[in-house]
Amino acid sequence: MNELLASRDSVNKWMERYGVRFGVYKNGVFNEQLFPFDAIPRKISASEWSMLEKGLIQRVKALNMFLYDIYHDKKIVADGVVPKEFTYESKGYMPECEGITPSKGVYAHIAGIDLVQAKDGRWLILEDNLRIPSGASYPMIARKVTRKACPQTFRDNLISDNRNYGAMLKEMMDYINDGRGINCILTPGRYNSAFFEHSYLAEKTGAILAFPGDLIVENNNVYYIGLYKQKVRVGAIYRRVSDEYLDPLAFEPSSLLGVPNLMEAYKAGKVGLINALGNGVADDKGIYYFVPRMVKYYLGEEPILENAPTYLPFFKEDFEYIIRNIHKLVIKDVAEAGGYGVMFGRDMTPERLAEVKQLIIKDPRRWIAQEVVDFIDLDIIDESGNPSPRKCDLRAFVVTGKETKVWKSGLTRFSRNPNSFVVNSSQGGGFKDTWVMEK
Amino acid sequence: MSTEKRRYYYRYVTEAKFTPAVEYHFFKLRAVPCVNEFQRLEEQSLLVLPSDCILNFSTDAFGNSIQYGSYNLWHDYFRVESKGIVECEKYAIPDPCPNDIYSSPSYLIQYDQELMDWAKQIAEYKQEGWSLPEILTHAVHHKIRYQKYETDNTTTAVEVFHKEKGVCQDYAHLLIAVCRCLGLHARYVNGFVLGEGETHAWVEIHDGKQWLGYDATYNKKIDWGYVKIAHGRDVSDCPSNRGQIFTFTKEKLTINCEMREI
Amino acid sequence: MNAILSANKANRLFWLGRYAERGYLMLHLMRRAYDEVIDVPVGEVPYSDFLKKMDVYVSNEMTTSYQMMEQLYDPDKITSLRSIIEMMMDNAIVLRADIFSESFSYIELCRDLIRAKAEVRETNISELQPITDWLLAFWGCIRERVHGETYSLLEIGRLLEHLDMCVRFDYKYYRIEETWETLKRCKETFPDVFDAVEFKRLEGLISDKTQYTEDFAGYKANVLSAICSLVLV
Repeated sequence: MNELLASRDSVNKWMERYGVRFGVYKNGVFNEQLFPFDAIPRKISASEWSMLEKGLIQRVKALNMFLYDIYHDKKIVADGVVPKEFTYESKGYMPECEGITPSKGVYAHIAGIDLVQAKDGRWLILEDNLRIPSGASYPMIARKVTRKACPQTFRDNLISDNRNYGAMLKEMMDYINDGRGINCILTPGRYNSAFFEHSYLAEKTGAILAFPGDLIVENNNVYYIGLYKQKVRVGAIYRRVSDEYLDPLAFEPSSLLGVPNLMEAYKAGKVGLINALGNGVADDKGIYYFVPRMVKYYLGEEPILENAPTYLPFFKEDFEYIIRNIHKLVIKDVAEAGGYGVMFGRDMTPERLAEVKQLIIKDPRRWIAQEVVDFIDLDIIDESGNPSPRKCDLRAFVVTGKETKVWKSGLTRFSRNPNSFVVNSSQGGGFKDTWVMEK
Repeated sequence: MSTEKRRYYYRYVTEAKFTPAVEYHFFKLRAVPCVNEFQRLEEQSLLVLPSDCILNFSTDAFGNSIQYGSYNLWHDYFRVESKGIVECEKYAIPDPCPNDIYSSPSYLIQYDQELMDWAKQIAEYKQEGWSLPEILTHAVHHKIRYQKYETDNTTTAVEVFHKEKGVCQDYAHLLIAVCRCLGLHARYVNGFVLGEGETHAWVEIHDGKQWLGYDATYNKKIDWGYVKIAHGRDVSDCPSNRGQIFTFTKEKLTINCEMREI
Repeated sequence: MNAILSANKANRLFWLGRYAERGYLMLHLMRRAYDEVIDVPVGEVPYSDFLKKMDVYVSNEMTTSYQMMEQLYDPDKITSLRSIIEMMMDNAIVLRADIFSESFSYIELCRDLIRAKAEVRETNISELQPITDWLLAFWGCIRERVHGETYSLLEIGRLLEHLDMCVRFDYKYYRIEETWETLKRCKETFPDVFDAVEFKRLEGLISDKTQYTEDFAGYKANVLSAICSLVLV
């Protein structure tokens, strides 16, 4: 551990050198910032990991089955397990995807599942991210750099290697591609906040980094336009452009980031999209409540990983509980992400609490409430160079191609402000490496 | 049962001129009447110029037929001509279980409190021999003043409700919003009406067994004289013509429709 | 194997090659100018020759030393070393997957250093020596890892810029001839990127050794303009 702490400066220098940054817009000006890295890793023992791994695979399998069901037979709605209000009325539900079966039947190829560990040691799921979960590149490159700077630490500890993420992605992309053409990573462009990740993953998977305008659809086939208009067939696209901007002729017409008629190529089964379209119906904060039930419904198994205790004002019993206990709950807007739209009852004035109650009464479908989980703090080295506890979560990456696998690492994010519970990078948080121990 | 049939000739032409010329021009059209229980295509032709453009046919998620493709070489002219003969029965589409997406809010059709209150209020209105959809159609018709260039393809139902001005598409959106507030299934339709001009928009409301047509612009229940092309939750699901060009150009677009009974 | 290039990437590779070479040579020539100034007699205007060759108007309003400082750090002056390095980065950032993180990191290092030195208005040019070292390391890394058209486009950019700077700074004729010969060999492996008309024109201009004299400004301008339009990406 001493070696790790002593190497902080050199590790940070290496990270700068590799341009490990993320972009932020402040007052309309684009700036690139370093993503603050803390040298103390999160350690997860082999036995703990094996439980997490099983639980994550189970959860992602159920979510994939749910997505297939929602866009085909809708059995889970007919059987009354998930109310229709949480499917058709969800912003993430796309009727355009009805009846489409994506390449190999996989919807959530890359799932980013956010967890926290409670003080009693239990792991709780906070959120599923099935659209474009980002962040894997940071622990990947942090590991590469810390191994350089602290070889003895890595000799002394048996830590699972995490530098295989590129290979895992490539294997999955090749499976989805099915030999139809090249693999592409489609980026919205260099001013996207995660552009570093897009370009780094392109390097590590050997996929072509495609920019808006590089891809065209002709007779339902997707082509990358090379120099002198040479056309190269594309078989799979790991797209980092969100659903609504992906095809201006099918969705948002003003989008300049998309590929016109891509939806038709996708429908015709001529290209694999990673992740599939329409996944938003399975990862909003409202449907989250039902995921443990999905596990039981589709797999006939008891969920290995629990949700954080959650209440839906949509249900009468929960509604009454929320209204009574709002001062100690966290209220979340189901439509928001990235740490926005999160309100802590205990921080609100009585007037504000009354206002929020009204909001919930007016539109119960829009809100969820959760108990504030007392989760384990991890130490970081603060600005003064001393260890100091911070709230942390863990984003685990679950990759589904032929099989569902969990990447033996993850992105541990911490809040920079010691009193804050919000750990998102867009809100100024930092990150740690996550060590999965071999023993 | 009435098996009365009527035949209509339709012709739809859209022409675009580009200055400067463009390449990699992509398009998606809904320019051919659909085929359903009350409507049959006797004859149809679709001509797209330049004639060597890439043209494909498919069906969208709402069951509408689409014609899409691209022209990748330099061109300054693009033309679509769709014409044919449709044989119609009285307007009605049987559907025992309508999809719930048509009773839920959609992209351009959401509601605010005032709109919901208004919907409840007009639903109370009674008139001997009038069905609820007819009452709603009547109310929406009188709520909005027909005025061009006040609204566009991104205008929401709530905006129309407060603006009280608009064109056929806005009448349709407001009528759908009112229906959905009241728990009815309602969907947006575009197509042709008798006469000359542009494409028209109206509404289909489900009565428990079937979809029936209502036109808030002309304040009537639809029986004859409407040829349907496509439907969706709102106009953003089924525009008749959408194009995408990535380079800078000025586009001069003209659209012409005609339909007559034969 | 990132062998498939879009037109935009080809353009960026070419310009990355040009800017990397321009940055390298600019720093080299500035060091030389600083060295010469040591021996400039009192009363003469220092650096004016260097500035004129960089197309900088030498005015009476500001001192040439101040202009040299601008030539290093001014972010708004497109010929400054800082701007050149920023543009190197601007091109490199979209090419990470094509040139690999190792090569990319040297550009990143140059950018961070020039920004830091601009911040403190560093006047001792020897403090910028790492930029020279890293640019050489960058080219070494490119040779080591990058092949095919990706490599050719970078190399064509580098050679073209080299030619441009040699002509601009009145290098000996044989240096220009050598660079031109190497560039011609690139054309054999990748002919499509050269404009045939401009190529002929430049070949004519360069092969006429007699025209190449220090004072022949019109001839120099012709060569520089042909260089500008030689490559089509």
